[in-house]
Amino acid sequence: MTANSPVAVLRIAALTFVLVAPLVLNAYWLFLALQVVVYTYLALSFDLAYSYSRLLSFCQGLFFTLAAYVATYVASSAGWGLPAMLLGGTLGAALLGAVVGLMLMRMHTHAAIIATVIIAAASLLVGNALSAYTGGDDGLSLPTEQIGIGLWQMHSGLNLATYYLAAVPLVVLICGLWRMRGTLTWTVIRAVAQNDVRARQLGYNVTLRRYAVFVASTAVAGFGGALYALVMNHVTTGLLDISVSVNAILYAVIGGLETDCGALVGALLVLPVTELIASVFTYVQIFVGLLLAVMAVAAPKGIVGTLLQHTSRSRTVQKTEANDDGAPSDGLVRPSSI
Amino acid sequence: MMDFDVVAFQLLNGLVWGLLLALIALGLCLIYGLMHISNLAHGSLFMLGAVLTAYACNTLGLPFWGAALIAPLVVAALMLLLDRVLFTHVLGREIAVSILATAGLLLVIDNLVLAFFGGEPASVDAPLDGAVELFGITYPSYRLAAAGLAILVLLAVGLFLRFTKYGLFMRAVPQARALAAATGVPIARVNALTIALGGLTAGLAGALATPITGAHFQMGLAILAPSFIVVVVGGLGNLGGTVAVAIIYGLLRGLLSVAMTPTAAEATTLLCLLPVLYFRPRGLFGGGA
Repeated sequence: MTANSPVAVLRIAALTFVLVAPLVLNAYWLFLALQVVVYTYLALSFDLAYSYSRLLSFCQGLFFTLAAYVATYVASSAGWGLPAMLLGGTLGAALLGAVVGLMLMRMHTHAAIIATVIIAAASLLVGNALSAYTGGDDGLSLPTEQIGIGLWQMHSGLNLATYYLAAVPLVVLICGLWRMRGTLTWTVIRAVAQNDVRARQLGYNVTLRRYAVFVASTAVAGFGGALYALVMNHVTTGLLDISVSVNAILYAVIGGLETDCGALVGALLVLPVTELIASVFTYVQIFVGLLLAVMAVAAPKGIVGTLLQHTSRSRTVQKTEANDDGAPSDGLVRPSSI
Repeated sequence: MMDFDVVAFQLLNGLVWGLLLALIALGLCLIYGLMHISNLAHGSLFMLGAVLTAYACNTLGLPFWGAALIAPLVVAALMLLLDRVLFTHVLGREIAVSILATAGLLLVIDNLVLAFFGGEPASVDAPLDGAVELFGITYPSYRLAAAGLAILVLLAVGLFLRFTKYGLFMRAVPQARALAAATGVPIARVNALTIALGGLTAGLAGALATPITGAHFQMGLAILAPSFIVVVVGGLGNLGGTVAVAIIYGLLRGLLSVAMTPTAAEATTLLCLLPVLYFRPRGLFGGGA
């Protein structure tokens, strides 16, 4: 067993569960699993923005919601509803992300975070002010239930096709992030996120890289938003409520920030638990808030992050013991970041 | 009413709102300035002040001014408790820790209020029901009294910071925390006082707003964007800038309310101020950040 096997096992278990869920779950739990998948995109987008562009963004929900609205508007595109929804939603979110990112990248970290709170809160006001287009609290429904590509058409809502349409790209995305970890590109992205001064000294364009990651994170949120419209058949301005973003943030925090599968692990653990609590206790958001506050203070690294830290410590201890046994030490102190 | 009368009325409304917003943002700015904590639950303190005032008046039968005195004190006491159980533990840690913890706190306070006081909006009669002639229009006396009180509190806080020992500590600690600690400044007590003062001013703003806007568990979320934008555009940690931008915000919102619905006016005011952050990322008056 390698030192990081607990995380590898957790990652494989989470991904396998997502892929086999339709085979083992009844309709109710499968619908919940589908929500887990869709909201994981939102949580993952938050994690990407925070971990690799150093922007703790409370406005990822805006990109998610915008994409859901764009997808709803383009769903009836003659026979090509599916690509129109997914591409339209993703591109719409990324475009808005590109504009918002221009402003955020100019700001000091703390002010930028506050700006995302302002944007999140303002977007709900704007969404309600534009109720003629957004439907306000009542929202908009998908104009058609037949969505597809050319001759291949499928139903929107919960079914095997929509489930795998949402789940497979998520699995690919997480595996992609996992595989990218050893590459030079990823090392540079991490370096830029962890120490911008040193990264600048090494000649990297820090702002451009952070901006690119932020826009990519909004595209991920957008893809999730488009899927939300597809599986829920309905979108309202309620999605712009900051509590939606806070819930997704909770998934990422509990799972573990700066990890490839933390958002998924967090969503898999928290969403079903909150659903169960909600069935007996109306004010479940009290529990969500408490959990977020406690996790932020007591275990900000989350489950996967804590496991990684633990295994990293074990490795260090093993290396030290090996060195003590006579292995020569090079005496170098290697910084954790560049 | 003539058009000028409508504009004057809305501008006065905007000025009153701007002063109440300045009261809310003052605490936010003080806490950030001293402790580098952006309290996302600050709007919930405003909401709590309003809901407690409405509850004290409508259910306990207290007179409005009595309720408006007690409610902010309760909010300040709550903040003292939170200082012990939460703020002390996030102080000096990574920005994300304090922001995520206070985001959780926001959900807890809002939903506890929903659980205990219900989701129905509550209204309270204004303690002054007359009106005065001002700039050729008739304007409710209570709103002017609320604005006057807000100005008095803002001045009192300014004088407190300028002329008292703890005021000096509150200004000195952010500039040289280590030196302040070495010279015997009771930093933990200064932090607690700042947090309580933030709760007091936000709770008072909520109490004063109750006869104007009513009280509802979601009003804290509604104030979140305006209170944060005036703090950032004013220059993070810059008290004078925050108060000035709050008043500008109120006046702009009032002016826009002449031509559009209150929600649209609020949204447009926010959208007008957001681009300022692109051109002046450190705010109009600069700040500590």
